[in-house]
Formats: sequence, C-alpha cells, structure tokens
Amino acid sequence: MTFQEHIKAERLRHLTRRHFLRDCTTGLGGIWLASQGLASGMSKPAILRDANDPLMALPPQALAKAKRVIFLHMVGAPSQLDLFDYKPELKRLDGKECPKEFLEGKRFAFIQGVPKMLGPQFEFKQYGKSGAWFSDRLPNLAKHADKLCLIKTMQTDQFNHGPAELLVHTGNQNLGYPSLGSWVTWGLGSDNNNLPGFMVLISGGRIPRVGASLWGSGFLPSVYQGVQCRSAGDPVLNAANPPGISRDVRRAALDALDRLDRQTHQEIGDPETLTRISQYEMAFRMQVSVPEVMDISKEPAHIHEMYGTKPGKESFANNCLLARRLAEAGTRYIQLFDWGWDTHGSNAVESIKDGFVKKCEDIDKPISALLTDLEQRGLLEDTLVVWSGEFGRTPMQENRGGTTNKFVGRDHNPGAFTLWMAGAGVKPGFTYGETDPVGYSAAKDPVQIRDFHATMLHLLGFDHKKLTFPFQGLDQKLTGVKPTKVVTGILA
Amino acid sequence: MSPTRLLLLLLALPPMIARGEIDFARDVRPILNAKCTACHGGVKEAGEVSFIYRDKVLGKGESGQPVVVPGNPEASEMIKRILSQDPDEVMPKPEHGPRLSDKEIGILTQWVKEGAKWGEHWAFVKPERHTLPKVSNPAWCRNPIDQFILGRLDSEKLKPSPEADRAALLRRVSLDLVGLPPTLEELDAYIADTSPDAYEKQIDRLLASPAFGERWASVWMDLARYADSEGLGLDRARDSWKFRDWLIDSFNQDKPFDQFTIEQLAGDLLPNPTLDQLVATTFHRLTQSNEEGGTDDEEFRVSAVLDRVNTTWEVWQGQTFGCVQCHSHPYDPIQHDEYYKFAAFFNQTRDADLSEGLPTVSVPVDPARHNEAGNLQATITKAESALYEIHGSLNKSTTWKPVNNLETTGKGTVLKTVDQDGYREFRTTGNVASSSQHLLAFQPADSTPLTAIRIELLPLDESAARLTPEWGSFLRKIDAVILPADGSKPRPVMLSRLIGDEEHPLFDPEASLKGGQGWGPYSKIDRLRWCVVIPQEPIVLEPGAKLQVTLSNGGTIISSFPMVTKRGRLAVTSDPTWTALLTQQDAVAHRNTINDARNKLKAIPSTTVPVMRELEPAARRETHVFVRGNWLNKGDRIDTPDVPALFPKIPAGAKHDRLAMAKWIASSENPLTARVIVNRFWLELFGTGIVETAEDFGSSGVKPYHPELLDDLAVRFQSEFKWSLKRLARELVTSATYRQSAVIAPGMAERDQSNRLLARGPRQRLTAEMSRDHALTVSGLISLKTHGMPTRPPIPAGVWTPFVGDPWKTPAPGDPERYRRSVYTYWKRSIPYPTFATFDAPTREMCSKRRLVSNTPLQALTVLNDPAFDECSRTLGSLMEKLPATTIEEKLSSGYRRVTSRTITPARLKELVAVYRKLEADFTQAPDPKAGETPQAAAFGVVASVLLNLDEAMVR
Repeated sequence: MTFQEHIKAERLRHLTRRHFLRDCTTGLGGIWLASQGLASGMSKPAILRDANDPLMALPPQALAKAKRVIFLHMVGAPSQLDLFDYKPELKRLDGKECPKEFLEGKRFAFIQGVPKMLGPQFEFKQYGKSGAWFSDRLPNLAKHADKLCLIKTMQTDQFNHGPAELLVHTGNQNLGYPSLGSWVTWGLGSDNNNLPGFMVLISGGRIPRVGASLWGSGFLPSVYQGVQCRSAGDPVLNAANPPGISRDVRRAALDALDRLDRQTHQEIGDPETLTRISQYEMAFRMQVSVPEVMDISKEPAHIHEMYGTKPGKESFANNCLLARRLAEAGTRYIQLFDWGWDTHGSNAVESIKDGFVKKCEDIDKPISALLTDLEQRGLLEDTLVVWSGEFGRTPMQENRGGTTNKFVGRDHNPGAFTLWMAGAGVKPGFTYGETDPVGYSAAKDPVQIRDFHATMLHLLGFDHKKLTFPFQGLDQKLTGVKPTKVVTGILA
Repeated sequence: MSPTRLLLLLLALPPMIARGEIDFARDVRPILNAKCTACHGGVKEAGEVSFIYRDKVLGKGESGQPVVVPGNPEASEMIKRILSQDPDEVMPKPEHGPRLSDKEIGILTQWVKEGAKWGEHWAFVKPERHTLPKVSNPAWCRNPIDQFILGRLDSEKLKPSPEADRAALLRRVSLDLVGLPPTLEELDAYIADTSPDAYEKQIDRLLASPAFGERWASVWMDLARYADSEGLGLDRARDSWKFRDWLIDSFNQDKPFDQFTIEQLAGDLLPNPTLDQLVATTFHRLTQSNEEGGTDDEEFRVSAVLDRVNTTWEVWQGQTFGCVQCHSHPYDPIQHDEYYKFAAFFNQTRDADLSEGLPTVSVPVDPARHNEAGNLQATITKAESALYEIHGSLNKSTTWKPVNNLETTGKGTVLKTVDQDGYREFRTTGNVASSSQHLLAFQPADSTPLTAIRIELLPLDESAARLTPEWGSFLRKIDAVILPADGSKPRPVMLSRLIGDEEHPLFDPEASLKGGQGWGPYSKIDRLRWCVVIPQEPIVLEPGAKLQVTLSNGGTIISSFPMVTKRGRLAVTSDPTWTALLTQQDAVAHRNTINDARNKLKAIPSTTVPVMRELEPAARRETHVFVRGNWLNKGDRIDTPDVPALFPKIPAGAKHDRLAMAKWIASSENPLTARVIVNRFWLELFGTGIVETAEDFGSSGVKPYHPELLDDLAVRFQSEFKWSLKRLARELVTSATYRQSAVIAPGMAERDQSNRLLARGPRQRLTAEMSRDHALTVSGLISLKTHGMPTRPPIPAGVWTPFVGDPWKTPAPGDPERYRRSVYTYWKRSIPYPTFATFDAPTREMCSKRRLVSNTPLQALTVLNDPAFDECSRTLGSLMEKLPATTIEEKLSSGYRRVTSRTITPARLKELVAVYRKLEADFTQAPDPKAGETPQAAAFGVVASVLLNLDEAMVR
C-alpha cells in the first residue's frame, strides 16, 4: 500500500466507525451492541460492525501484505517424514527398536510399548535454487520449491484428530470458538457483495470429523461462519430456484414481496424490515453470482489440463480450481479440506506405500497448477496459500494392539510437522526451523499453532493481541492466553 | 510526590461528585474492572496488589505502601499512583492505557475519603421486594411489572404505546408461548369474544396446550446442550430423546423450577428415585464424548466433568465459572481452588467416556409403562444391594491365603513374576497383545480343598493411579484346570459363580464365566480391584498337582488400547461358607428376583438414556486442583466438595454431595437462581433480558436495565408463584407492557433501538424452530403428534454426509412423520440441520445461553428455495386455490390471514392480486408442469411463497 492509499484507508476507517455509531442505533445493531460489549462499559470488540451490512469490506488495522487466504488442509495429517522433512539418520535406524528417550513421558494415540523406527519410505532430492528437500511423491510441487516457505517445526499440543483440527482452525481444542476464516471475515469483510466472504470446499469423500465446527463462527455473530460449497446439488445450499420457478417468475415474486414489505415498514416502522428487504435483494444476486463462480465447465481446456479437473465431479483438483476462481472474485477466506491422510498402516488405504501414494497423486498436480495459475494472474502477490495437516507423524512404525502392522504406517506426532505457505508476505524459497535427527520433535525454532495464527493475522494486517472480542468476561483472541509470537523469520 | 502537592491536586479536582453518594458496586467496581483488574485482579496480582478482595485492597503492596487507607486518600498508594505525573509511577501505566478521567479519579478519591466502603456486586446479594414506584397512569398498570416499567417511562418522559390489536396480540402470544401461530378459528373465536377476560382465557388455553412444553423444551435444550449425537470424534448417534420428552412433560406439568432443577442435577440421589427422575439426570450426560481412535477415556471424562461444572454455573447462576478453571476469577471474588471444590461435587459419577455410553437406564418407549419399568429396576437395585451385602461380609470374614508360588505363562504376552506383600504377583512385560491369555498355575500350601479363588488386579503404580488412572482391562473368560502331578491330561474345574467387587456392576460379572464382557476394571484402573470365583465343588488336589487359572483378556478398545491385565495376584481359601453360598437360600432368592425382573424388563419395548450415577463408596475418586487448568498436573487435594465462599453456605450438617449442591442452587437463599430464570423468560418473551447479557450476571456483564423489577419479580417467583414457570409466563404476557402495540412511534427507533425501555410491545423474528413450524402450520401440513423418536424431515441433497453410519431417511410426502414439530428433529452436532443453523440455532456442542439473531441472505434463500419450505409453499398454494371462496381476492385474503394472522389491507390485496394475475398469465403463456399442474396452481404456489417470505410472516 502506498502512503496515499494508507491515508485513504485511515479516513475510510474513521468514516466507518462514525457510520457504525450513527447507524447502530437501529434494528439488530442495537442487539449486537450488547453482544459487541459496548453496553457493558467494559471492553469493546476490536472491530465494530454494522449489523445491517455485516460483511462490508473494512481496511485492516495495519498495513497488510495479504488480502485473502487459501488454506489447504490435508485432513488426517500427512507424514512430513515422507514428503518434506528428509532424515538420513532415520533411514539408518529403519527397522531398529525405538531408543528409550523418544518414549519416556510421551503419550501416543496408538503406539504401545517399544515400536520400531521407520525410515523415509521414498527417495528425496533437493530442488530449486533454495535446495529444499522433496520426496519423489510430489514432483510437480517440487518445481515450485523457490516459491514455498516451509516451516519444518510446527508443534501442537493435541494428538487426536478432532481436537487437533479444532486447534488449527479455531485456536482452541474445544468446540465453540470462532474459526480462522470467521475472525478474518469479521475483521475484513468481503470484497464481493454478492458472495459469502468465507467459503469451504471439501474433497476426499468425507467431511472432517468435527464437521461444521471447523468453519463455525463461535461467539462471533453467525454471519461470519463459513459457507460450505457442495459437490452435489446446489453449489451453495438453496441457491437454485425450486423446480419450475424461472428467474423471471422469481423476480416478479420478489418485486411483489418488496412492495408488500415496504408497506409493512410504513405501518410498523421496524428498521429490521428494511434490512430484510435488502437481504432478499442480495439473495437474488447471489443466485446468479454463486453458480457462476462455482461453474468451472467454461474454463479453457488448457486450464483443465493443468489442474487435472473434471467438471461435475468432487475432487481436490476441482476445489483447487474453484479456490482460484473464488480468490479472483474477491472471496476473503477459502478453506479446502481434503480427507484421507491418516496413514496408520492399519489397512491398505492407510498405508504409506499405498493409500498415501494415491493421495499424493491427487494433490500434486492441482496444487502446482493453483500456484502457477495464481501467479500468472498476479494473485499470488496478495494471496496467502497455506498447506498443512493438524499434526505430524512419528518416525516410529505404528504397532497398534501391541503387534506389528501388516501395512506401513506412522502414529500421530504433535511434536513436529511441516506446514508451508506461499504468496503474500512470506519469504519464497525458504525453510524455517529444524527438527531433531529423526524428525520427531522440533530442535531449532519451534512454531506453535498460535504462532502461525499470529503470523497469518500479521500478514492480513492485524495484531493478534488487538483482534479481540469480549466474551465470557474476557477479551477473547484467536491466539488465546499463552505466550505467542509472530514468526518474523519467515516474513518477506 | 509531596503531600502538599497531592492535596493541591485533589482540591483541584472538579466537584462533580457530591459527598456521601459513592456506591462501591455501582460506581467504583466498574472503574476497577475496566482500568485496573487486568493487572491487579484475580489472574495477575502485579506488585501483589489486587482489587478483587477487600482485605487485599486494605493491605500493602509489594512496595510496602498501603494500597488504600480508608478516609485518607493522601496516604493511599492507589490514589497517589492514579494522580502521578511521573510516567514511571502513574497508573494505569502509559503503555497499558490513558490516564483515568477526572471523573474517575474523583470517584475513587471520594470513595477512599468516605471510608472505602466495600459492597458486593448486586447479583451476589439476595434479591428483595421493592416498593412499586408512583406512576403517572395507575389505570394502565395491570400488574406490578407495569408499574416498574411505567415508572421508568415516566422518568424518561415517555408514554406507553396503545394495546396491540387482537390479531397481532394473539399471534405474538401464541408463538411466544407455544411456538405456533394461531389458526383462523382461534383468531375468530378470540376476536368474537366480548368478555372482559377474553385475553386471559386465551392465555389459559395456551398454557394448557401440550405445545407449550414443546416450545419451552427447545429453549432449555440449548442450555442443556441437547443433541442426538455424541459430539467430538465420531459423533455417533446417542439415544437421549427420552430426556427431551421429560423436558416437554415437565414444562407441561408445570413442574416447579426448584424441583425441575434438583431432578436434573441430582435426581439419582433423591430417596427412591422414580425412573423419570433418573431420566432427568440425562441433563449432565449430554456432554460430548470422544470415541475417536486413540483418545484417552480419562481425558474426556475429566473434560465432561468440567463441562458439567461450567454448564451448571452458566444455566442456573449466569456466571462465567469456566475462567476459574485455570486461575482465580479475573473480576469476581471466586478463587481458583473454589472451582475444584465445586467440581468435586461432580467428580464422583460412574460415567467415564466409555464407548457404550454407560451408565444408562432403559426406558419404555411407551410413557405409560415408565412406572412399571422403574419399579422393576428398583427391585433389581434392591436385590443387588442385598447380595452385595452378603458377598461383602463373607469376603471380609474369609481368611484369604496369598498365593506365593505362582508360575506364569503368557499367550500373546510375556509375563513375569514379582514377590511383593507376601504374594507372587504376575506382571506383563513389554508390549501386550490384545485378547492375550494369562495362564497362572500354583500348588496350594496344604491339601485342604479350595472353596474359592480371589483374583486381585492392581495398577502398575498404585499411588500415581489414584491421581490419574491407568488403562484397565476386563476378563473375557476365566477357566480353571487341574494339572495332575503325573503330567496327564489337565482336568477341568467347573466354575459356578463369579462375584465382583461392585454393588451395581455395569456388565454382568458372570459373563466372564460364560465368555463375554464380564468383570474387570473397565476401562481404567485406579486401585486394587478383586473378584471371587467359586468352583461348583471344593477343589481337591492330589499331592504334586497344580491348579491353573486362565485369564482371557479383553480386546482392543477405541482402536488402540488392549484391555489386558498388566498386574495381578491370587489368593485362595478353604472356608466352606463359599460352597454353601451356592445354595444359600436368601442369596438364591435375590438372584432369582434379579433374573425375573430382568426378563420382565426385556419384554418391555424400550430405549435407553445415559444417566448420572454416583460411584460406590469403595470406588470414590480423589479430586485435586488442576494446576493452571491442566488435568495431568494435579495440585492440592480437595477433601470436601463445597460452594464458593462468596455465596450462602450449604446448611450445616448436610452431606456435601451433588444433591446438597442441587438443593443449594434451588434455594431461595441463592441470590442468582431465581433472577437468572426470570431473566431468561423475560428474554424469550421481550427479546432482550432485563440483564441483557443473560449469560453473565457477574460484574463484567451488562447491568440490569430495571434492577428493581428484576429483583421484585425474582422474589415473587420464589414466594408468590412458588417457582411455577407457567405462573411466571402468565405474569409476563398478561402485563400491559407485553400487550402494547409493536408499532414504533416516530423517533423511538433512534431513541430506544432495542426496546429496553419497553415503550412499545416486542416484535421478534421467529426462532429457527418456529420458522419451520410456522410454515408447516399455515400450509396445513403440520403433525401435532407429541413425544417419541427423533424425526428426519426433508434435508437438501448433499448435506447429510456423516463421518460414520447414521443414515437420514425422510418419510415420503404425505406421511405425518415428515411434518412433525422441529423440537423432534434429529440433532447431530457435526451436521446441523441447515434451516436451524441458518436461523441462528447453536450446534449445541456446549451450553448456549443466548441466540444472537441475524438477518442474512441465506435465510432468504432458505425460505424461498429449501425443499421443505417449497413443499409448504406449494401446499399452501393449492389450499388457497381449492378454497370454496369464489373470487381470487377472497382466496388470497384468506391465505394472507393464515400466514400473518392479520386481515389484509386493500393496498396489500391489490399487490397480491396483481402478482397473481401476472403469474397466471405468464404460466398460461409458458406452462411448466414442474411449477404446477395448471397455470392457476403454479401462480398460487408462487404467491404462497411470497406470503411465507413476508416480513410479517417471519416475525411474531
């Protein structure tokens, strides 16, 4: 942002606040007022929102590098040891009993007693000028090595999927807290009046196990919850008219509705009625804008070729292309979930040598295409792309039930996993942090989930300490109450 | 700063505070909370200064200076600091916030000058009745509520609005009380009724309607975090709907709120509880459980206990108790350890995040058979206790001889022996394989026949396990053989009985004899556990022969943990009483009683609900403070459960258990309970609570708008209304305040946006449940059948994608089950029913205290396009079309009235006729059978959709 733009943004912010304070005296604004903590004379929320236009785009609190986020979550937690975190020492220890120091005082989900170490299952090579390591499972992504900023030392304190996924997306392992996308949409609003600000796309055949809580709005008003786009039926729930109802018929009906509601407003004087009238107009626009943006069939052949997309089919590839289209259309926060990465080795699908290989094939080309596509459209400079699981995998082979599994798999490991980012505001071709010689825990520069959250908010123009919402007597933050730092080492 | 300078500064303050006017709770506490307690509060006590407790404020800080000297601002460090110009001295520190305003400094100084009088926050002081204020128009007031409201309006120089017209009023009160709009017949009857108490008669009708319980159950289900699924992890289905029916019945029977409270919190501890009182305790079993592979049952048991503590405080006390889990309360005088003293009330229940959801009770599907089943269960309980008594005393009087020459063989698992306490114990080494077997052989010390074998299982680390239990086990099968001295074939020993160490076991211990899940420390072990096996005949061993007992272990649970016994030992006896027990008359009679009752119960078609059940005395847990809220880090032990010192005490002599706690909450001495429930009803009926933050009555919440009214009503609710919720509801809806028109007078939208002064009647958007029930009712589709299994109404394609199983089968169009009221809709936490979620219903993962109402385009899309609403539109359209009326005008007017309860105005009718004519013409020109069989049917269907989407249709 130039200095001029900055001044303009500042002015807009003051205007917005005045606008809010004037208009909040009507309708729902009043009810929100209390929920926004103003009436108590206690803390105020960081963002004052007009309930009659809750998604209005607002400038960030500070200079921002990123305008939007595309978050690719590999649900189930992919093995960092077989993709990014190359450990020759682990190769040497392959098949040997796990040294005691790795087991003492540790809680595992499935490992029992003394397991065996499991070396990297694939060949690794260095790529690009940056020399980042990639296994041969992600050959296309590896070509983008110099765009990625890899954090090798992500840590979490949850080692079961449900709580760990919640921690990644809400900053809390319990249900009921606002998701990242909700915080961001609350803070920044939407750049497109005709689209929800926070969209969720799912692939892999299953929703993540805690479901809608991963994109819920928690104690923030419900308009900031993510809108799930679906692969069957309407792209967004109820966007299509019922059978036999054309757009013209609908227009005629809405025109009548509008005139009738205006009469009601004349009689009763409730400002809520006016809000409702405008929401029906927006709904009518969304009926066109949502299917339009969600329809990938008109994309040119070379784009389909690049992503590996097939219109009308649920796939991670389709979702990557949709993510690009949504980013282009001004959606603030685009969340992808791809299910099926929980490689315990308890069956073929969960085997690193089998199911995992297929999952890698599913994502390699589409992610690579997404990065290329964002870059060629100039979107990568203000879009932050994030790729992650909810925790890492162990360097030991899983031995569920006390016996050795028939298939090769790894247990949950909260001590270290790899997350990478690309695009707005992060150092390209950069690797941050080092794990121990077997990749079991962070040895240098550990990064907590909350540090990642603080960093992401920083890139979007927020101080994580100041993006607060009063609830249950506390100024609640995405990053919670534990000490948190922005990972300045990865900032471009 | 020199004293003179300080004095000068004090004198220079603006004289805005008159002498003798300072009220601590009203004037001082809010300043402290806003400006000071972040550093000097319950969480942080920077410089050893805290403003939460009076004794701390009157004490000395780290600097040695007295914080506050009553009557002497100049000597009070607090005043010096807020006045200081030195950036290193001034409070708040410049980096934490601006200087206090002159007014704030004035208030604090004056407070100290007047003696620094302390006062508790209003909500912690017992409510009292208040004198009714003098009002300008006593004739307007129908009951005391009105007098308080009008008193306030008078002081604001406002006048109340006229009474709403009958149609508007009946619509409002019908939807408010029973969640359904009035029918045309009900409207006509009310409008035609000229008697002076016509309105009151409608109220009596509505309060007596079975729909009343359905409407208010929905409200309570948000608080109870009611769902038909388990939550977290797999979010599997969980049978709990009998609790929902219990709620409906309780509201319909007008169960007094104190009793309603006690039954939910501790119905199981009431003397001879009925089956319904056990069902009531499902309230606190609606916590989430986690059956995801690899999750620790103890972790999620603990988290359920903490949720029960927090929910109890949120629901009944309007307090944010959860923050005390990690540290003392940041604003209110509640200490960290007091949280765990209260948690100790809840830490003694048998549930432990077991996959089976145990303990549960089985409840007949037919409510008429509840008593019959309850009596049978009571019979079983009684007989079990009698048997336990017999077994226990026999076990005690027996001389058990420890087996000190055990030889072990592990199948699937490696065993070793350790000599300890006179026993030779067996222990597992290394990894244990699921379903492995332990073969334990020994030669008795002498040749007397053995009449019983006692199997004792122990945690590996007994003292650590008392704090955090270890994974346990269960015995899938127990066998015994004699290994002859000559090495010939082992001879089987007939085992007749297995007696466990629990009075009311969750699984039949004897299943271990036949094969199945029987006795064992399942799923965790925290102390020595034992069972006794009785052979059919005393075991006689020839010299040199050995007895071998085989313990077959259980399999893996939660995809991860093998239920394998890791440490144990044996003891034997030759006491003949054990053999005699097999035929002892009273024991046999009790067993027959149990079997009989069980068989009778099995014959009654039943479902189950999870219930609260207290641990047996021998199995009680220790409760410890969790250091910084971390369940693995146990601090001081809590010996007696208790309530925080801030509140009235539990009566002297009472046993400090969950029942005492429930009675403490449901007592008139409790300052919060009545206020909180009165406020909740107010919130539902008027749209905003008297305390706007219905979830927070603490000092960080919003102050009540009409404090005297709230207190007066709370006292009357306890005494005059005798805790009757129907009586309370009646008082609210018969007030002149409630009956006002909702028309907003010019200027009032700006003056009082959220209608807290109540110079007009409430006008609220329909709740999520109401919006669906409303559409079903006005289209004539609704089924008013009450109670029963959850229903699965139409759901848009692609929404229902559960993580495991749990199919969604919608009954076909025309089947009444498709159109049941929303309170019965299957509620899965991970996949909210889309219409409810869109209309601001919570997911009920945790207790939700208040729904924040939004107004979004997704709501518009739902009512316009959702298949269930579309079905209502089309049905309403065809209903209008088929009316016997002759003209289109009449048909449309009637449809409009069905939907909005109002008589149509000519201007509106003109609009409706115009759009109908246009649509009819359009469909005639371009017919579309998908829209309707005839152009007329299609046009009526679309107009019906317009009606259902009207602003007037969405509000009450």
